[in-house]
Amino acid sequence: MHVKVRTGLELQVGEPPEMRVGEVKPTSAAAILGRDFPGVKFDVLAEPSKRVRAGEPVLRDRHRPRIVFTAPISGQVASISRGARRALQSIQIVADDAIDGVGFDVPDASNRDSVRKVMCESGLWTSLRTRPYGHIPDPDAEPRVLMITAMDTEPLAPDPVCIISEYPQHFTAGIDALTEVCDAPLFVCRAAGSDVSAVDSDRVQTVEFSGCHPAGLPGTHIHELCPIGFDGSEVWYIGYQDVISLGRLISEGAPWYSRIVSLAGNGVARPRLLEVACGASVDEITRGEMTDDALRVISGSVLSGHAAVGAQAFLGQKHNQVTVIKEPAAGKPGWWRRGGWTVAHAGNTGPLLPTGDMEKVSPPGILPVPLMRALLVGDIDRARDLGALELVEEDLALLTYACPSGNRYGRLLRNVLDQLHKEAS
Amino acid sequence: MRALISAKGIKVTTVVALIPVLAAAVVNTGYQYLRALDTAGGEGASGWRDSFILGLGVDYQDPTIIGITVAGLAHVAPVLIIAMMAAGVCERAFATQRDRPMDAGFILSAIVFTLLMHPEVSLFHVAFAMMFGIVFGRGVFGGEGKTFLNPALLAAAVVQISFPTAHTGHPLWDGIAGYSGTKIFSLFNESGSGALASSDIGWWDAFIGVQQGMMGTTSTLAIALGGILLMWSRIASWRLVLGHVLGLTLAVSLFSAVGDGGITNLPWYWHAVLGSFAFGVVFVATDPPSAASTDAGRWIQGIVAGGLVVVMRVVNPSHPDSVVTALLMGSILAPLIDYGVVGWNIRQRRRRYG
Repeated sequence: MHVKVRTGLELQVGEPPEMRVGEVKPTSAAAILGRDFPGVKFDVLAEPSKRVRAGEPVLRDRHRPRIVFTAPISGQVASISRGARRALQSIQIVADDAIDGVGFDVPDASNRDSVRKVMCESGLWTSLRTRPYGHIPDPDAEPRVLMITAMDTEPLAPDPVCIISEYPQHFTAGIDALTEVCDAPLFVCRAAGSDVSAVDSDRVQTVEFSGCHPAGLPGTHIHELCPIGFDGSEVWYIGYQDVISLGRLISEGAPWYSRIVSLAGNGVARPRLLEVACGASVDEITRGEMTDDALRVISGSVLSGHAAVGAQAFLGQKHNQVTVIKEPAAGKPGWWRRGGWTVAHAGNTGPLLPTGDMEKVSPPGILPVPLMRALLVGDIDRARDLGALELVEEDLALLTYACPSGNRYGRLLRNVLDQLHKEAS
Repeated sequence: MRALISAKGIKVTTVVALIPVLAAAVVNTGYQYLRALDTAGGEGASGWRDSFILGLGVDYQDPTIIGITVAGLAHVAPVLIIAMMAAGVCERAFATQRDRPMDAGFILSAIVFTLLMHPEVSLFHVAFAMMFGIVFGRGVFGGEGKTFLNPALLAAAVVQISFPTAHTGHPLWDGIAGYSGTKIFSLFNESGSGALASSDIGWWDAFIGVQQGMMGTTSTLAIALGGILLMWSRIASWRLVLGHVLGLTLAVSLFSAVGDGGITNLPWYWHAVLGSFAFGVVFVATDPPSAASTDAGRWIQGIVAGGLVVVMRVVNPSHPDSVVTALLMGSILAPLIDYGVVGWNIRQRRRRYG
């Protein structure tokens, strides 16, 4: 099956990274970021200065205690940062010399409950997401469809094919395990013409997507393959590196605590792929790699990533890249184009001018300007009717970039989704 | 792929797109003025503009390019300056009262408004209408991007409705037989297509803009140049522009099918180059905040407003250039059209997703 995505935008932010897997960058500090898990209230299980092993739970979902968040490296819990209304920003772990991970009982791979159980215990359950809302799914819930995103169209993203081809057995084992997790059909979404090995099965179907960003976003895939909306059913999705990690958990008894990320952008001397720990310190990843000092460091892509500063200077759970870009000269963006990237807005917002750019970069099937207006005034009913439930922040990143007003539609959408979720539950 | 455009870039690009139109306005107004003066033998030149031009020693019997430019500037510049001052004063007042910086959009409104004016328009009318347009088409709604009407369009409508004689022109200008952008309609109405040939009027003249009319609206060529820039930068929606042309064509073919000769037989390619149609469509109707904001809505608004232009021109020959009125109707209808498109989208989504 082949789907062609017609809207979108190809952004030039620097040299593409050299797509070669192998270089490992050691990590001495890592963190779990609260912002990666919208809607979760955390219970802290490991207080500062406690030593944890990799795979040991450090956080728990207060309302669904089966969902735990595990340490990606072994070491000491260094600090817990909290933001507005004491929401958890990050829990940081500093590595020590001893490398030891928790071993998990290799489950009977053909038993649904045991696979779900070991996924929850190992913290891998938290890499699943739902649409609507983009939350972690309930461990007892059942999706309508499960999607595996094996493509990435974000600017300067790593090529999933060259990462999957390093771990083909783990990827296949991960997909096998996912077929046990639920009874729903599985879709493997890959880029057109890419060589992602798909398992032959009547439950697993491979779908090719072509076009520029947002062709690689799960939101686009869900829109094309299994639209969701008002009947309360969910679609789950998971990234390709998380599938590799799951395959490793099933076949070797421990998840993959590393991720392969691209380090790129116009402020990077040598753009390339690096293997780092999950949630690794971005300062450490970029140390000695930047061409200049006045640079902006972003975990994720320029469109949907977050500025890696302070307590947030760690790799996001869903991020496969670190981007370093040159700051536009202060106050002097070129008159002919947008002044800055998503993460650069100074907070001055202007009026929404509905030029044709909005339709060009809008998620498929969405009327961009009416939705943007509904989000701006906080009209949650209108936003839901216009398809807000199909979207999460990353789907609106291009609109935020294209709209001259400087409004951040991702954040506005999250407010609307939070309210909708509160009303629905 | 070109870069996406900033709010400031939208304004600067639009001004750049207006430069060829302004140049054509200066040259053509000056040329038409000297030609009219020549036809009248220098009689009737008693206004302050005439004193200024003739006082500078411009020779109307043997016009030079400098003479044409001086005569053109003497007509365009005062209107533009007064419009800018009037708009600036209102914008300043709103900015002071609301404690926020002035927005440069009023300059754009003043330029577009000037180009929609007759060369001999009274400067008092200009100042009054421009103030009305900025206050009620922009300021009271909260400024740039928050209004549903184009201030320049509203101001032009105020001049047409409040001072209907202001647009019939100076007697001097009627000296040339049948050769004005609006007079051509009545000519065609009286004696059909033969009138065009007998008055020595060619389509190419009308396209390039060697004819009388509102200052900026005569040269379809200059407007097309600006329009290409605007559509390429996606400020003006090509769907909206094409929609207007489509609506115009549809209405013309409808009228010529049921019509009884005269103006109903004027072909669409004449309608498109006469009067303010081209200018209105490219620079006024496509103004993003006041146009429909969905792609389907843009098509509908274009077809409706383009059709209205022909309906008003044909059914009401006493009001020959109805573009300003028709576009105003289109602008007012745009939110309603969007409302319908959004409702349709919501129904489709509910049906698809259960």
